[in-house]
Amino acid sequence: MSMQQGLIFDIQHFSLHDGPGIRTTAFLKGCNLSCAWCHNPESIAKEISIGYESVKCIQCGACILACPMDAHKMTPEGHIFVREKCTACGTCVKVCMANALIQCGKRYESDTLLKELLRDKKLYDISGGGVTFSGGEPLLQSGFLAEMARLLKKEGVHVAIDTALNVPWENIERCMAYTDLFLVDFKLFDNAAHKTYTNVPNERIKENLRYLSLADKPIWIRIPLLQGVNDALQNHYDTAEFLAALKNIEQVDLLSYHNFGIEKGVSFGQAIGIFEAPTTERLQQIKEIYEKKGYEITVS
Amino acid sequence: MMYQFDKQKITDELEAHYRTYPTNVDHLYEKLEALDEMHKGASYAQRKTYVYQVAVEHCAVKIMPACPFYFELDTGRLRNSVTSTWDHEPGLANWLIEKNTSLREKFDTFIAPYRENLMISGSMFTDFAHHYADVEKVLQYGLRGIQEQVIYQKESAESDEKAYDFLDSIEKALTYAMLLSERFATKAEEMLQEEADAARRAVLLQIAKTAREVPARPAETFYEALATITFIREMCNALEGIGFAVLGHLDRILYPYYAADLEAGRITRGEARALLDAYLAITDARWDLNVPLPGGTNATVVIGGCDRDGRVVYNEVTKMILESFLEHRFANPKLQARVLEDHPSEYFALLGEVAAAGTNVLSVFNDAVIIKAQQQAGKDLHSARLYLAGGCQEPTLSNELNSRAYVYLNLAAMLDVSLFPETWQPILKRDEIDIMPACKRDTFAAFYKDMIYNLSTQMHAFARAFNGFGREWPVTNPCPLYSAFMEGCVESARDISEGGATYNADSFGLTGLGTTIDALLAIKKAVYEEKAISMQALKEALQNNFEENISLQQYLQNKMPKLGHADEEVRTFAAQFISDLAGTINGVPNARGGYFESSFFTFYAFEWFKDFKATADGRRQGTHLSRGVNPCESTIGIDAATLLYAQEPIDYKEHAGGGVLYMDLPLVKGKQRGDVFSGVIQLFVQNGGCIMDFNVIDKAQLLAAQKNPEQYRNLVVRVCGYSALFHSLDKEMQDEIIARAQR
Repeated sequence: MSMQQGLIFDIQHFSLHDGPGIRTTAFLKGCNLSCAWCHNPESIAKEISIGYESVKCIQCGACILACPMDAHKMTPEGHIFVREKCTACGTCVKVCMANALIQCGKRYESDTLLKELLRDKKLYDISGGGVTFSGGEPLLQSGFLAEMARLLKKEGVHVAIDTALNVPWENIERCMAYTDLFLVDFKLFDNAAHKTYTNVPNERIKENLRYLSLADKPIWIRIPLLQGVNDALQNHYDTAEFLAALKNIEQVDLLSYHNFGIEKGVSFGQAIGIFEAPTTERLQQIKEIYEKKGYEITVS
Repeated sequence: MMYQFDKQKITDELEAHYRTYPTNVDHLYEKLEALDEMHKGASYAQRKTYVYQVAVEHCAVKIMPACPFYFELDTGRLRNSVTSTWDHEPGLANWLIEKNTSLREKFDTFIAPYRENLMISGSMFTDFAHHYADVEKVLQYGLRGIQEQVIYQKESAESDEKAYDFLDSIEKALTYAMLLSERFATKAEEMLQEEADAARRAVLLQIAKTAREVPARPAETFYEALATITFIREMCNALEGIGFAVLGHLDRILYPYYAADLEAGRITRGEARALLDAYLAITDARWDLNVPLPGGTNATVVIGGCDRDGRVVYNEVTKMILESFLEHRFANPKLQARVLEDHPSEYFALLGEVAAAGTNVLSVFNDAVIIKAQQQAGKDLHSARLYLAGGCQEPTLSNELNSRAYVYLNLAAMLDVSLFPETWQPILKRDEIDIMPACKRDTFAAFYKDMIYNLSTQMHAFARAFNGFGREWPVTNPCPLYSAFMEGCVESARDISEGGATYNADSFGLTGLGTTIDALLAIKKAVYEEKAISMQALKEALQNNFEENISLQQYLQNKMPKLGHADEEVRTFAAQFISDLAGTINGVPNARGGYFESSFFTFYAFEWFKDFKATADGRRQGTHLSRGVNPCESTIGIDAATLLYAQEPIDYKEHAGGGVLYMDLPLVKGKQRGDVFSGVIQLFVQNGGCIMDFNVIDKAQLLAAQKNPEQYRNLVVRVCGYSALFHSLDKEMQDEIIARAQR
């Protein structure tokens, strides 16, 4: 049987916020949502991409000499990266000593990734942790993901998938047997608003969540909170009502907005909007809505 | 005894007293000089007893009844002091030290070129700060019982004038210590005449009754045991001119007293806890923590671990101490938790809670590794099992005179010798350090071999030099009182300063391990394997601080393998180098009949050496060296799991002086927080780590505290081996700690 390959853009060890215990989170590249506030804009492209952090550039010009596509130029203002010309071959990254040019995405054979993920197995066992697959949208690589989850389960590792569920049900089903926990990102209840801010409607997300809740797998709902986008109380009354009708929802994580994505967006040529986190008072009101439904709530 | 602990009352009462320190004792120096004049030709040990005599006869004793113990003898020492130095530290205990000016001159002459070239940092010729007076001997025999043994030995040593004289000085030391205890009893009786408050009267009555007898006789109750522990350490601090950092292995020592009292109905758990609270509150209350404290208070409490027979120590006293730290959030003493895999999960969970609380006082000691390391260094198993540690993390045995953390060597500079022999030769020639021309070798294997040789010759030369100074310790500051408690000194009739202790260890704090390993990895790959740069070009770049070759600096910094990377080749290389490094110093004899032991505690030397020239890992002058056994701060991708993984291949059993991993972690909120820290501790132990210091930090909180210090008066951070209030640190140190939170 040939080895499956997956495209990973980051592996974070000692992850404390992506499921129970101490975990390793593998971030799979490619996403079919375009959230206006995206925290991981480098993950959106489904292929390897090149990022450029101008602040690190030492203006050595090595990339200009190395690039076969003429995608780097030196101007009186300094080095310019012409993204449109870039084929993401990675030649420039190799010669960039300052790591100003970075390659986002690396292809992993399943056995190589497994080895890396098992490195901290002792820590998972001690702390009740495991491995979380996040993204991007990890379920877009569901074949690879299912294979990885299967291999990890075989080793006795707890597996969580962090997903927006905007994928065909088959993709979810393929991973179901090997997944212990689903972390479901639920951005907005209203369909039109969802489409406005993420570029996709949420009917399929809701439908998948309904089905998923019948599958006897624990689900943690994760809601990013942004002022003026989804912090209206009505949005949360509706969401809480919707969730209350579902089974297996164990926990609701309220994730107050942070702007870490903005700089990364600049590096990867993705325009990311600037937002504000809800006020502390509003955060408390939202928290109470879910608490009244009896969920365990975390706020970060 | 009915005692109600009130932290605020202890803090206020001790603050009111200690804020007046130092007391002027100039008139007492005259008495010392008069005694010296009267007994011309007396031995140094006898001369030291003049300090005890004058202090006991003339210095004030102070009882502060918010605290139930008796311990303060005002010998004129500073409020914030962990040791004596040559720089006229106030206090009677420093009297003899200052007289040996020729030693100071010799020491300063030796160290000057090394200081100037940032290779060695140290201000004293031996360790005057990290000691432990074996209080168990006092608990068991009482001062009188020890004195009887001394008298017996003295009688049988009549034909040996030196031995007789020394034992006589110990006998006197013990007499003065007992007289002092009686003075506390008398003082308490006097205070009772005036005191109206019922709670304070209860304390004074207890002291009046106890101090007349204890520690002259063995302790019989939990209170008496704690009173003995307090008294002995503080008397040594006040009288010996060296610092007694280690408070003791409290849960192991105290539990039998607690259990017996409980059984006899003499104490309740609440009463015992109140006494422990009071005992632990003394350090913070004594010290002025609002001023910069380079080195902190040094005070450390040891818990957990095992007893001399290897039985796990975890009992109600352990729990009470941990509860006390959790409830009262003491910044001092530091809590040194010895850990075995066999410890119950409850212990790990409680330690996890203490770490998660963010009070940053916890260090974890891996018994399996440290005990074995002591054995490998030639110490017997029973003694090794009773190891302690302090003032930062320096391991010591109760029957060992350890001399650690008094000098720090810059490993990056010692490696530089192999790259620039032409520069270093004139400096090293004086101390007969010969150098192999490592930088001229054609292969990395040959370079490495020469480099290890060069490290070895430097280590040996430094050991020779410090041994020379160490041999003058007996004529600089002998310590008969301390020697009374040290196993071996009475039996051999030799002072601790001349090798009387059963065991004698020395170590240099080897600083910049990560920086040095990264520099070697860079030389290996860039110069010898990829041949991306010649040795000559590398040397020129280093000499110029990479000023004209930023590309090279970035290449070395960003494209080379680094300590901490999970790559097998790096792990193997690092483990090999660390082992080879141990081989350059382990087993080298010291001045007291013991040996040097490899150790990687760096204290704040990683900062002191920051202006050392550029290094081959791409580090530029002005950047800190690495801390402890940690990777460099500039290494990308280092998280707690990766740090723990990096410990696995290293054999810390070769480093009896200890290797410290600094574990900076974010504040974790929520129900899982204790589990996270407990998990880190357990994996550290499983992976064969040695010592781990926790520093739990929140970048946003630190930045806010820097901006509005008055709102964060109690925020404690782990600076290196010690903990301090964040607001008391200078801006540079605050920035360095904030930078760690960026990782």
